[in-house]
Amino acid sequence: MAPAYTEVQLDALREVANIGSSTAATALSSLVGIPVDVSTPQARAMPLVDAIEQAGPGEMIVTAVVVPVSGDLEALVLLVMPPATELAACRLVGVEAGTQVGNSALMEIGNILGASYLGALSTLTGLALEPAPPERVRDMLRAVLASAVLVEVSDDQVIVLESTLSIADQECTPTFLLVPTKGSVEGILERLRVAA
Amino acid sequence: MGELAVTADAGCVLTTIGLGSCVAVALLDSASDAVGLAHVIFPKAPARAGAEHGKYADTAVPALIAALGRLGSPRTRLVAVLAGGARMFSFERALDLDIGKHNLIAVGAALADSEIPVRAERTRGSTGRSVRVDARGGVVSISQRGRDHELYRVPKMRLTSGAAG
Repeated sequence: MAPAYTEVQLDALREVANIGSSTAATALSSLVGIPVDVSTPQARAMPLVDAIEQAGPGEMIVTAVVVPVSGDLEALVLLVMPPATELAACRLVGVEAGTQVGNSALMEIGNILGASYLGALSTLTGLALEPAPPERVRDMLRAVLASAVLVEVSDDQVIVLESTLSIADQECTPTFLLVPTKGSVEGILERLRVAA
Repeated sequence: MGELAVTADAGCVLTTIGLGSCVAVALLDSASDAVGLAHVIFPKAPARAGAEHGKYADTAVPALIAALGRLGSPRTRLVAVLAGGARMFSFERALDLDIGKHNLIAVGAALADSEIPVRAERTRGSTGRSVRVDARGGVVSISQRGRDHELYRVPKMRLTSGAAG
């Protein structure tokens, strides 16, 4: 199969993820009062199964906050927090992980970061985005990812935009995943003027 | 994910991890150590050639039956154990996109077509699961929410002594 996207297009998508996650990093930084860094985003276009299997250890229990997006773009934004990140994030905002308060704090962090990510995306592309209420789950990484991605994507080829935040001196590395439906990827590329 | 495997080697264990809306279909020979496992992702295979059989409910079940047949296990001796088909997110219902449910319906239909009884299942709910099928004794174990437990063990009616392995 020919590559579905050119290097220029993948670069443009990486830039989208970069701007989204940088904005979210700023929001997180002002929330916890500590500098937050962002990794260079990755844009992976690959078969669905590979994308899910390469995302990390399948049985690792993670907390994920998921924001379904509709409007001009149909996509999912996932903020995935491994166990150490969950603990650190709760500590930073002064709540105890694993409690009801801790869980709602994680949900709120996910909500704030998801909203700033999407806000930046909307500003950059001019696309009208309608985020649905976020949802928090805590379960095996693969079960969470596969179930989330399958809701949005039935194509065999998916594109995943991934960027990881890291808080200075803390083992706190929440990861953003943006998974657009195929039609939506074309929409973004068109707005960025790198459509095929 | 999306794969299927069979074995008649009693030293073999088939596993699949992190099932959410996906469905694990285990077929067990009630008279030997032969077992098979498929990880179904979607209910229905697309109409193009070369699609992987294990991925789709309507092709995974016949493919498992055929593969077990080649190991000497006739369809009439097979029993099924199912796990998965969860609804991990509530927005799936809102969007009418409960793929776990559709997967289970499609697997159920394919098994009924082949007259294979479902002996045990741990399905639906909103929990991720891992599945382990131990060929020795035909034992299916489930892991969910950090706990392991045995879901099913084939009550053996040995037709031959000392089958494979």
